[in-house]
Amino acid sequence: MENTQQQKVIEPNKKTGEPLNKNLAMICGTIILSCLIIAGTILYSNSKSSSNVVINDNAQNQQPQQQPIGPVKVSVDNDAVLGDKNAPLTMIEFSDYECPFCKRHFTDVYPQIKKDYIDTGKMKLVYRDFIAVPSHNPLATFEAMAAECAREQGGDSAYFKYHDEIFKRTTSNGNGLDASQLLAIAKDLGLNSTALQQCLDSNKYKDEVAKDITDASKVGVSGTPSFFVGKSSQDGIIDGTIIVGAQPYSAFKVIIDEMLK
Amino acid sequence: MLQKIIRKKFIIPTLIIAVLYTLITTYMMNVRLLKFTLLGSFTLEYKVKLLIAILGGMWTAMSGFGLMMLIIIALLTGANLTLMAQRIVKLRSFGKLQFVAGGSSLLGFIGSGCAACGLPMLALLGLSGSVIYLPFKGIEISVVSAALLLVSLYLMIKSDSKKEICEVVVFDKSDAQKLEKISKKY
Repeated sequence: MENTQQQKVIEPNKKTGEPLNKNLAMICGTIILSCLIIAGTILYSNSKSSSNVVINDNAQNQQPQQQPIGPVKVSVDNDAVLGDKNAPLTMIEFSDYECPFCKRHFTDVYPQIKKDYIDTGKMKLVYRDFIAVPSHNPLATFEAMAAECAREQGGDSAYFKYHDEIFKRTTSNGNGLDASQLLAIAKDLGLNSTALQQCLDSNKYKDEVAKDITDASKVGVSGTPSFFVGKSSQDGIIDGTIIVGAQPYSAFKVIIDEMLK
Repeated sequence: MLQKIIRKKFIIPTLIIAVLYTLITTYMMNVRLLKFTLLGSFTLEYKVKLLIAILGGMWTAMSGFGLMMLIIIALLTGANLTLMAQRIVKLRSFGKLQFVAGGSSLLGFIGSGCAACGLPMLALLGLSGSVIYLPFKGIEISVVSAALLLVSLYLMIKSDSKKEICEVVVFDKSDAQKLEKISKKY
């Protein structure tokens, strides 16, 4: 009896010298298990990904949209255009003046895209508003409205000069530019700051900003910055391929170059 | 305890899982673009170029802290899954396993990366919308999941370190007398 017990007790100790193929099987098993868990999570999340990531005043009443794979029809609407209006490609940017990643895109990637594709007439850029995070308001909406007010005075060119200044001066995360700083930008750009103040006070572009947010939600935008790149069309609606996040210039270059072929 | 960690059969799978985890989390941000590209009729060269280019987003589309948390969670998930798999092999007959790693790595997926910038993972469990209302935009979830993973890892290593044999206790005469006294009391 005692001998049998001792044998049972000792048995696991023999396992300490595990053969190599068992270790290999264990490693392979671990990798396969983790792959299954990860793949399962991805598949599950994709099947559930129709739920809208963004909740804000304008988007929360939207029905969850099924996020399509591949290009989606996105309108340039009546928003500001930078570059040749007849350029073969169109990039629609959904952005938030208070989003730190949008600022990062503006600082690190936008100048190169502008130089290589917009200034050369290969692509035009349409800037649309998408204020994704409630804490970015009210400043983000004010900034978006102020840019529209600037456009009212000086067209698309004034819009983009104002846009550049907002991104250069804002500290992001909802701590950005107050009314006096917005007026200072107008002054510095040679715009009529009194008219801009009146325009801001009238809230006349609040609906325009809200419409951009609604349109973005409809095409499955869930965060900022998000970009749609596609071939330009007469009706201003492009079949846009979505790029999400402050991706490096190389990501944009690969996609744009492929579309220009 | 360190002996459990500093082993080839622990480090290699941990690193492989961590790399896989990091890659997938980075690619999840652009899952629509990648699905369309990889399944579409594009050249292999374009597909590879895009995969490499999007990988660069790890540094540009995440905050420094977010990236650091992602790497920590990836390593902890790798370590937990490795230990879990090793325990499955070793403790099959015991039938009792810890599934803390499963839950907390799921939380890590959700919280890592840019919470407010469109990780489709956020849609999971319906947490997506509520995360943007958190003071640190979801970074809290990363920290909590890292802590859970750390606890899980500690518990697994600790329980693995326990002896796997039933020790035979040898009583001497005095012990036997003490035991007799105690048993008489009750």
